[in-house]
Amino acid sequence: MGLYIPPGSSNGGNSNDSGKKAPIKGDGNEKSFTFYTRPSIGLKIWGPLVPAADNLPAIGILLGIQTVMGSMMIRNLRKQWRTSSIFSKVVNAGAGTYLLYKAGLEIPRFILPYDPWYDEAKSARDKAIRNNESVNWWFGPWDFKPMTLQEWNAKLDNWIEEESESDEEFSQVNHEFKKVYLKLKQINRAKNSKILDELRQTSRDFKYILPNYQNFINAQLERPNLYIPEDLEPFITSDESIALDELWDINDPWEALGKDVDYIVRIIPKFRWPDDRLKLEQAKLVDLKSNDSGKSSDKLNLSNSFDGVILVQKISKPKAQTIELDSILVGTDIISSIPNSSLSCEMTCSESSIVMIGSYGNSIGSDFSMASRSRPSTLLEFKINFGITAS
Amino acid sequence: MFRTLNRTKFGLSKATIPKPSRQVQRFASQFNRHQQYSNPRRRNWTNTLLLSFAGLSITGLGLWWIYWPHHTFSSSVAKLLRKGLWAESEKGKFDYQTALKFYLEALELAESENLDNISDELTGIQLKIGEMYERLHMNNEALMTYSEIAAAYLDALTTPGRVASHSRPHIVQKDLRVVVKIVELNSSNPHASKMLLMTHFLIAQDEVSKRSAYVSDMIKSEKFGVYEEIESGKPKIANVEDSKIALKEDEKSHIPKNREAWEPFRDELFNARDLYVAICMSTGDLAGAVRAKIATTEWMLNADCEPGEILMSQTNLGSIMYLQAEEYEVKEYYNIKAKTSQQEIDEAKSNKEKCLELSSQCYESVLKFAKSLPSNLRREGNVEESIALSTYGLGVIYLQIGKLDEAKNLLRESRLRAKGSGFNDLVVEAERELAKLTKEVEKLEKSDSHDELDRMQKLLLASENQPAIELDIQLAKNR
Repeated sequence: MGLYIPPGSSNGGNSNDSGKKAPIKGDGNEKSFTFYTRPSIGLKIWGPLVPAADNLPAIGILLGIQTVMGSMMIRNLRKQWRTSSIFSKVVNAGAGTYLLYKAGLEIPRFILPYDPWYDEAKSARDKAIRNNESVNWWFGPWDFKPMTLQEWNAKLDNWIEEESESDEEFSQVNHEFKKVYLKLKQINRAKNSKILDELRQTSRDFKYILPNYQNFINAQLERPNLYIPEDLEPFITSDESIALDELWDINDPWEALGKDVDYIVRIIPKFRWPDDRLKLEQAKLVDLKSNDSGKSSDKLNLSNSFDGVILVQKISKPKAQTIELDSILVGTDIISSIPNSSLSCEMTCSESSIVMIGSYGNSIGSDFSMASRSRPSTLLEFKINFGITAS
Repeated sequence: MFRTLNRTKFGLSKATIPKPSRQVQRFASQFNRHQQYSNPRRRNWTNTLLLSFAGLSITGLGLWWIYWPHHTFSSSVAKLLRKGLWAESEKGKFDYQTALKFYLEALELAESENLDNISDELTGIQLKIGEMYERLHMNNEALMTYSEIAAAYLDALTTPGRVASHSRPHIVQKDLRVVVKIVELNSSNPHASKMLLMTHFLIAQDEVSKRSAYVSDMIKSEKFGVYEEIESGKPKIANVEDSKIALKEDEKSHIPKNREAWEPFRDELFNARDLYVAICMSTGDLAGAVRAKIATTEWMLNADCEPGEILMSQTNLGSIMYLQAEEYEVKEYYNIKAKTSQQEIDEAKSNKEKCLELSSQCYESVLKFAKSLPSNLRREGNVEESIALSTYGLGVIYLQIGKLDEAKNLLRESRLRAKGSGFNDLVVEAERELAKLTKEVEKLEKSDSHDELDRMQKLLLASENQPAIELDIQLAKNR
């Protein structure tokens, strides 16, 4: 730790509340930095001792001490009303009230749903820990400049404004989302209870009801198995001996999912060499033929480890593709983005509706055609002259 | 109060020592008497100290209750979960089928106990069920299970007052994870995935907007772009003139940093947006990819992401710009073939040139920015890979404009760098391009024409209509 020089003795270039600075020499590492008093509304009397805004226990301790000190002063005043001097009365009354008042100001920060100082300090602490910098439990990272009270205020104002704005916006779309959720829940309940029935029938092996029972267990799935730490392992002798809280925490499903869905995306462009184009033309011919026999793949393999050239090209035969909007949650957006008139069966697609389905069709124009049928229900059927071949 | 407390204390010590000696008893009674007659001021202090100690303990307990992870499964649900965990572990011989049974039973029971549908407990059981389905090759069932979680979150997050403000960011974080999982399982339906991602982004980004007015403006400008597009039913071709590339040379600091506004779901959000860009590209929506990527890179700077991540994002932007240039090239040829007006041909051509220019700007800014990094940061993940890929990208651009010697040098350098950083897919690509380049040059030498550019142009013009774009999207799980 270094030496703290009280605010005011250094240059007063920074006049804001939390920007008081004093040079401090860092310990251990040679780098010197400026120590800024941690921000607070009601705990300012503690000066440089104010803890980091994300250290709630520390704030709680100071707040507790301050409250107790304040109430003691008031109590003393009452008890020794007759015996004490006027000076002592004034001091006790003034200081006591001040301390209590300030503590009262600080308490809302605990209650407020959003505290910019807290978020800022927490993020700085996390970052410092990740970068192996020295972090103090009480103060957080040493080299950290908190935002000023004005900024804090502005952020809170913005938050309140945006909060009400988005509440309003959300409540307009919420009923649609609710409908989708309830529908999905209903479908899943029925499906799960059916599967559970099958699983309970011990006479029949479950794998025969599976669609892909030949490869019953998905070996390609790159998810680690349940992890049991070595020190816990000898104690687990039966299912009843499992310390659920501990084991569930170690194998937290949400953490496991987080690790499972972390992707790296890198895009490698390719130059179109003249002879590639010839091959491309030939490939297209082959592809068109295979489509005629109905063997083409319209699947875009973006799953686990897609790594290959994607050729986006047209095929001659229209392919039917049904999108069940219930299962994709966002049906209304799609419906509202298609003008009803362009959904007739015979229509050759204009450029806009091709773009709507997101195909690579800008320059190909009328070669694409699309026919759609819209029902009042949320089921929408696309027939799209469109295909993607992954090679 | 103090006296009572003290007696209790004494009583306790009595209980622990079954037969106290007389001496101890005498001492104790003396101690008691002494305490009784000690001055009242001291008693006050002790009193206060005890009171504040009690207060602090309550505060501490409260904080522990809020922040310490603990699960509140009922004992009957817990019993089923233990059985499930046992079955799927090595001890239960990885019996996923039996584990699934117990988890399904646990879910049924938990739902009948009215466990909150967005609680970590209930969603945790659902995730376990999803995982078992995946392990059993029942992807459709897994997809439906995950979709239900996402739908429950979406419903809860859009119901005012349903989720407490301080837990919203954590729900958003989980929501984004599960949405990416859905996209992964629903790979046959990229258009649905796009819309799904978009919907959930808007919720997440709204959360960021609340925490920073600056970010709010950035996000709104993107959001309205998206709305406009949905309303008009067609995306604007990325407005190349106005496109701002966040990471400009020498001015990396013009965007203020606001890391906390994006926490804790920062990584999840950018991960999902990257995936969105990849899906846009695979469905041919280059304009959407460009727009999303430009915004993402800008936001990543604001969110104070790791340099490697920002550099890779900028590199990818360069690659998308290059592909956009190729798209304009196709358009140019198409226009020539269709004999459209000269104006349209020129427009496509100038757009193509602009895109190429922006693309090389992106790549060059990556190289320049990487050079300015201190050496310890240069060794971090994605930095070397970004340098290699940007060098490669510049090489491809030089091929496009017919500067074959420069292209050759750049491709060689990128191959070397890719090897150094273990970026094997790029090594393969760079070698492929180099081999083709050598072949082309040989052909040129054999042919009569000595004008390289002329010859290249002729070859490029030879095929009239090009319906395909060619690219590699390396989409790998981060391990």
